[in-house]
Amino acid sequence: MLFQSYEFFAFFAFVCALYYAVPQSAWRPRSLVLLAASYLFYALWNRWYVVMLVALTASDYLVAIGLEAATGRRRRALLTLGIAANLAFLGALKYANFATGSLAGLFGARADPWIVHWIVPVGISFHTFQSISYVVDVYRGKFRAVRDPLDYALYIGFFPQLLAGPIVRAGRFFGELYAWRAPAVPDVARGLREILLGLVKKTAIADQFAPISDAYFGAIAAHPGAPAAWSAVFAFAMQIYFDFSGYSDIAIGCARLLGFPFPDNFRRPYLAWSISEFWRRWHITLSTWLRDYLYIPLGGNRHGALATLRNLMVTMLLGGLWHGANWTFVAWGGYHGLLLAAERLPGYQRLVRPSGAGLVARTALTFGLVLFGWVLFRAQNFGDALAVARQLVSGGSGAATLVWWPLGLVAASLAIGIAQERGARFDWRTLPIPVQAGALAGLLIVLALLSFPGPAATFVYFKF
Amino acid sequence: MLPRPIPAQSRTDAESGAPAWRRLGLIVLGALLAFAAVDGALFRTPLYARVLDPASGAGSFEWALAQLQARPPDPRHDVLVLGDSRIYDALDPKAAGGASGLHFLDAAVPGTTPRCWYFFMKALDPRADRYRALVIPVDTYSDDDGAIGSIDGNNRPFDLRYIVLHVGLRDTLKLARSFGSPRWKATIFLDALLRAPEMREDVQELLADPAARAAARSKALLDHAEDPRAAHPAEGSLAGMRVDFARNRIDYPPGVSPAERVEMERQVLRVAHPSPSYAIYRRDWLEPIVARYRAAGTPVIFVRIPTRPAHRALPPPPTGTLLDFARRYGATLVAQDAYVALERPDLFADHDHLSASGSARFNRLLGADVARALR
Repeated sequence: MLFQSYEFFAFFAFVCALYYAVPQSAWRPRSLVLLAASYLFYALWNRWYVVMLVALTASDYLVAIGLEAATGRRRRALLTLGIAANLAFLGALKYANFATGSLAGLFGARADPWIVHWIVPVGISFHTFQSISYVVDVYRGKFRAVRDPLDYALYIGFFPQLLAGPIVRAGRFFGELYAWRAPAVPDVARGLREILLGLVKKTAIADQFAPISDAYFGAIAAHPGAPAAWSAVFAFAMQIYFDFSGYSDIAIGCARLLGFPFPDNFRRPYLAWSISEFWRRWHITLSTWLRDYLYIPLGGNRHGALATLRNLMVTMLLGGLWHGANWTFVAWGGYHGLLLAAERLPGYQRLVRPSGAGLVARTALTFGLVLFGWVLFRAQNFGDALAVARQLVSGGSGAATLVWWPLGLVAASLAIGIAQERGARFDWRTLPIPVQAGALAGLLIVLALLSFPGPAATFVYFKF
Repeated sequence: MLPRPIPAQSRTDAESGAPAWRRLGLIVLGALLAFAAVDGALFRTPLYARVLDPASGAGSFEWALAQLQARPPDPRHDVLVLGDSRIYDALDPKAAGGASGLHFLDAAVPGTTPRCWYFFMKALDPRADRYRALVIPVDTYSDDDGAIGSIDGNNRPFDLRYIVLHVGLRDTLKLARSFGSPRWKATIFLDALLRAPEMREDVQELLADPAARAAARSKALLDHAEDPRAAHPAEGSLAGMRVDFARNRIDYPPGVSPAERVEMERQVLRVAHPSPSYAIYRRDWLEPIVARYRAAGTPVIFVRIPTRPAHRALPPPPTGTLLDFARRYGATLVAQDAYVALERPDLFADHDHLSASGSARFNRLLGADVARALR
């Protein structure tokens, strides 16, 4: 059940109606409604996913309670067990094929007999990261382990963010849950706007660019010339941003309507003026997770330049691998790790925000570097990535494959983004009713007329 | 220490009172009304029909409709022939009319079905008084699954592509209800109600290349596309094809593509079975046409047309729905075997379209049959 389908909105409307219809009481029927809806939502993809999710939930719930009772080495061993269980779960389901295939390739053997043909549960990378952060935070004493299994199950399974985030920390989620209040009118209005805007981003922009990049990366040799290559890479950059940020908007909007304000996941990343800045704006909940649970525990920047660079590279390589079981993702993470390392070289004016023409030039350069990185991310293998890179650099003439009107939507989004970067703040509450209604109607018209007319496409990040 | 609540800046009691909800309600209502106004201005007025792609489903439907609407009515001589691509290819109105004094008009739109014809006739001839007679082609006079569209007739969402600009509010429910699954009922209801989702492909093609659209429309005007008096005979012939029904085997002449062979076997070798759903489909979409013309005193003539280059058995006599139409509404059914002689490989261009020579013979027979029925 995709977020952009009629079925999802019928499901969501039903869940909302039920959620607010049942009175809250000691046995918390509202949480039960949400948990049942979440498991149903997940089971509609594959009922075995729910079995795996329940197993993961039970394991982390018990480990966290055990952590509180334990002391000394036993406590550390429990932490290791908790993290290892999550990573084993993730590794076995998502990376078994990749690991066995890579090993087989290394020894020149045939990969097929060793490959385990698992069904990779959708969203597994997201909820295992939530589980790990919970166990680690309990270990660090940030908060006590949750005693009610229903609460913990809801944290892991909450359907708006189950499939592709945002990765919500336990502290935030339980804070919202325990102090739950019905959303106020501005929250409802904002939630509706987020859902609508997310749908526009996904169906009217991302899905319009997707066929261009899919056609190109599916048959690179059939599309010679630099303009075709640049068109495809640019199309993919637009596809992945508007797809994932659109998904996040819908997830955040749905959660908000249920009374759970979630953190933002994107903040105009293509207007970043450095790669460091880009990662503070792109998939924010993953970036901060990697920072807090990997980079800092590795030592962060506390042990000198070389150790900092090592920690940076390890974090980015693993961050790349998180995206998918393929060496191209690892290379993409490594590419960004190198760029981040380069920004830490002496003399690089990383900390000083440029202005005027310098800011424009730095932003354009950053976008170009990010664009180049998407080649590794999107290509099926290194051979394809190299072929695309050649075309980008010296592909010669040819025809661009972009269509102008989706670019118009991107330009509109860019104009709003630049205004926001320059400090413009739109307070919807102060706008007259006709203006607000007109803006919403505009989004509805764009959605109705400019959505991709083909079959609904799944979200890119669902496969991560 | 338990997790601490995250402060939610917008959660104040003042913002949750009745005036705030009323304001939100007004905004949402205003947005929906503004959207409906734009959608209606585009797709419930003739505005967008003027820029439709003439080759699209809605475009060809509108074009054919406009050409027929532009003709001055002549209820003493004009005979309207509905149909899909088989009639579009086969009918030569001038040849069919011959010396009978009748003016045959081709209302066939390739890809359309009886459900589309229901909307076509409502738009073209709301009082059912514009024509001397209405000819409705059918594959079979019994309610069986041997007819094209008889298996999934009511579950064909593609129909909406043709009729979208003519589904009124009342028909929206009827149309949506005719689909089988709740998912399709809901999808068709919303698409027919809003119209924009069905039109978006056309709109986006127009936006992508407005000059190409203008050129396509100019060319369609120059070519007299969908002229109701024009003929469009199909090229090619299946002469040399042999069908062995005992062994379910077809020997093809050279030049028949693999895709066409698959289609041929699917059509020619199939054994028809009774189809209650097709009976319902005919009741849903053909009966209202027949009843309306009957009430206006305009004859309706059903013709079992040549459907494929070979048949396992002779067509069955009228039963079920069409027989009921004949009895209740006085609809004429031309003899079921009147066109069997045309169902020969050398008179067909492919698995379901007559060749040019097949069409010539078809027009002579059709003209004579209709003239006889109207005598």
